[in-house]
Amino acid sequence: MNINLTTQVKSLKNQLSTERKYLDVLTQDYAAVYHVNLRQDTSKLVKVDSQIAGYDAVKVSLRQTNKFSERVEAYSNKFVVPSLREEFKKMLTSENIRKELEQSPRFVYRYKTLKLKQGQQYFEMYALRMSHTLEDDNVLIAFRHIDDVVTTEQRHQLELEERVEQERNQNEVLSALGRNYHAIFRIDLEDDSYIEVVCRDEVRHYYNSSMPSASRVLEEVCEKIVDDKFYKHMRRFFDLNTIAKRLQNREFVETECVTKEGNWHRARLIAKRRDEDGVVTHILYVTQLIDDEKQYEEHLIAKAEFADYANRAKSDFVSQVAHDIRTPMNSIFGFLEIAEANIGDWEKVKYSLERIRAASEFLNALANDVLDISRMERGIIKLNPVAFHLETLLQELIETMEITKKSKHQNFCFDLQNMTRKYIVADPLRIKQIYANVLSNAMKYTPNEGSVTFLVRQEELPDENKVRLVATISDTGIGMSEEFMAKMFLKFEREVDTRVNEVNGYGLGLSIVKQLVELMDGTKEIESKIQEGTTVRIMLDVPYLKEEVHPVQDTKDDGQIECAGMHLLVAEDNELNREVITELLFMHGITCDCAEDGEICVKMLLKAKEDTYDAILMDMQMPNMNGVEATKMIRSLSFEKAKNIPIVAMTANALKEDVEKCLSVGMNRHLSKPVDMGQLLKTLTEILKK
Amino acid sequence: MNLMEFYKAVGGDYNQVILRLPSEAMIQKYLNRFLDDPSYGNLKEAWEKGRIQDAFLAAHTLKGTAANLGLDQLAQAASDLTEELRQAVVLPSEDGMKKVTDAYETVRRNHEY
Repeated sequence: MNINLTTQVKSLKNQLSTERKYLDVLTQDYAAVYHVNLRQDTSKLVKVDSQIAGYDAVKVSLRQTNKFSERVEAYSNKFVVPSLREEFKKMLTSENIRKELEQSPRFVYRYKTLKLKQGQQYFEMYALRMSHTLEDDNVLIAFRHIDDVVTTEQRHQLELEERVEQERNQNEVLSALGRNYHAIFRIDLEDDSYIEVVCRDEVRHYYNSSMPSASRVLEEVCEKIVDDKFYKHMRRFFDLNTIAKRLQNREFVETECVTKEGNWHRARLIAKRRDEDGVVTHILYVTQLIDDEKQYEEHLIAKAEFADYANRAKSDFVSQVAHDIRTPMNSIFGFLEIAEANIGDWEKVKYSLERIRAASEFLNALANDVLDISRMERGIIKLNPVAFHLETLLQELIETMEITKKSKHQNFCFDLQNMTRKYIVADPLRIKQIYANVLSNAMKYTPNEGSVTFLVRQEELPDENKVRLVATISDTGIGMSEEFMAKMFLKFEREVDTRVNEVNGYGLGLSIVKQLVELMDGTKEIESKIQEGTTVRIMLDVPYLKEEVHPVQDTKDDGQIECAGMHLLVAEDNELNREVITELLFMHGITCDCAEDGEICVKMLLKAKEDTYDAILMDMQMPNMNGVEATKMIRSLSFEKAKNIPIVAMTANALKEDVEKCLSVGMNRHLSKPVDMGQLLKTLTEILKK
Repeated sequence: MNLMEFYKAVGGDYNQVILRLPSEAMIQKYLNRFLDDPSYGNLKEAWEKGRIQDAFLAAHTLKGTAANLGLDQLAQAASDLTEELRQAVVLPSEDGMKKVTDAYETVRRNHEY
């Protein structure tokens, strides 16, 4: 029995030992294996590898407790990386393991530990149900280190990421190219095949993507996209039989063409791959839209053309002006010689001088016009509108034109109609210039016995402040061709070139007329027939002065002449008014010194040499010493001049008694403020005459 | 706005001023100078501080310049104020000063426009 028992025990032991070996072999991959009861929270170590990381700690924790949760807690705190600790504990709660194992027979969880002595870092937890169901709550939980597995996986992952990155890069390159290029094709020259790399919809629209060969695609591009004018050129460019030769010594060939839609394209064939002999076997065909570039280029070309035109016009101008200068110059030199040779012959000398004067006047007018044109071109000319008497201005103009007229036997007719507004506000010089230019042209181009008519009339306008001035200048002269009329207002254009013709002129007149009329917001009309004559009509809308105003300019001219050169002393406390009166006086050739009040006025008169001032203009109301006091003081001075110097009072809102007071203290005259220059000049003239 | 319209808007007399100052350029120049001139500012300050004599002198200057430039409405307002101030012992009522201010602001506003 004993023997039997012993044998039985022995046999069982053997069996156990064998099973133990099986178990060891089966679990040799695992560092530790536990038998855990999830309900009771107990754990029993089945196997531990003494070589494994944390062996000591495991041993210690084993001694301290057999509670599964406590062991998890201790292990995690000691070995698991802090960032994963919470997750680790959550994964290894009884509840979680049960939940996982209810769904599948095994539950795998990987985690990372702190770096251990042995260098292992990645572990796998492997939980298995011990029976088919989880009824008894018994599970096996095994741990193994998986660094080798993880490393391989990580390597794969890295490789994968790199490949994705490469792919992305390539895509970016392609899409960047796609933005710049309409189409990119890779063409294999050996078998005439192609691959579409980039192709925008608008391009694909033109060809069937199932085209059999690259040369067929390019043919289609020529036929469907390229404008007819460029067809032949592009067919030659796209000829794949010659491309290898064309790319022999260069990396690409390119050309530009217009599409049927009118857009500029640039096409390039780029060498992509060459064989051992350097012969191209693969090329890239790229094409891009270059409208913006072309537009800019065309803009530059247009600019250059314009500059060229302007330059030519200037050269023509120089040539013509030189000619126009030479003619009168010749005449000046010629008549100088005649005068010198006949110095005793009074008649001949007089005649020569007259001709020299005429030539000089012509030169002077030419110089003025050239200056005007250049000023107008630079926009420097500004109008200076003033109020003036229109009829007087027109009469003056006619008088100056008479000189021109005299040299020819023309009938000249001047007429004014409906001149209801006597005084208009405009730039009189420029108005004269406009009419004079047109008139002199009419006279110049009208032969003897022909007639020139100058008619000015006024028309009412809806704008009650303005009146329309219509000047009509018609002649029975040589007239102008339609062709010439189209460009007549350009500078230096003449119907007949004076270099081959008798007529003097330099072709600037009409250009000046045009610019001045535009400057005045006016309009002009021209009718002309060859050999019949020309009619020019100029309309200017100008402000006018209301009738009730009585300008006092009638005496102005006389006064202006007689007063020019006077030097006055002006006592006026208002700085701005001092400036105004100084400028107004200066415009009439009168200079002045200014005093800020009566006291200063007296002091200045005392300091000045006798006869410095021709008269004193005295404001009445001034600080420190007013006009009346100052006058009294001046009249009481001992020297002769002070007693006699004319003093003109200037008063605002003058009352009769004020005027009387002025005169009683020795002032000679009285003017009301603000002072009118016409009246002042008249007064000064009268004083001077006395 | 041209100069004629400006004068109409500020209650001035264009016809009279264009006859006296013979060009628009000159009128324009002195209008600019007028608006830079401190007279109105001086008047306002003197008025606010109750300095009658200073206010009188400034109003007087303003009257003269405005009249010279044909700014009749302003010149008249300044003239009325000058007369009030000439005899004043205490500051007169606001009315006169208000008229000057209104007229001056009208000139400035239209000129800027």
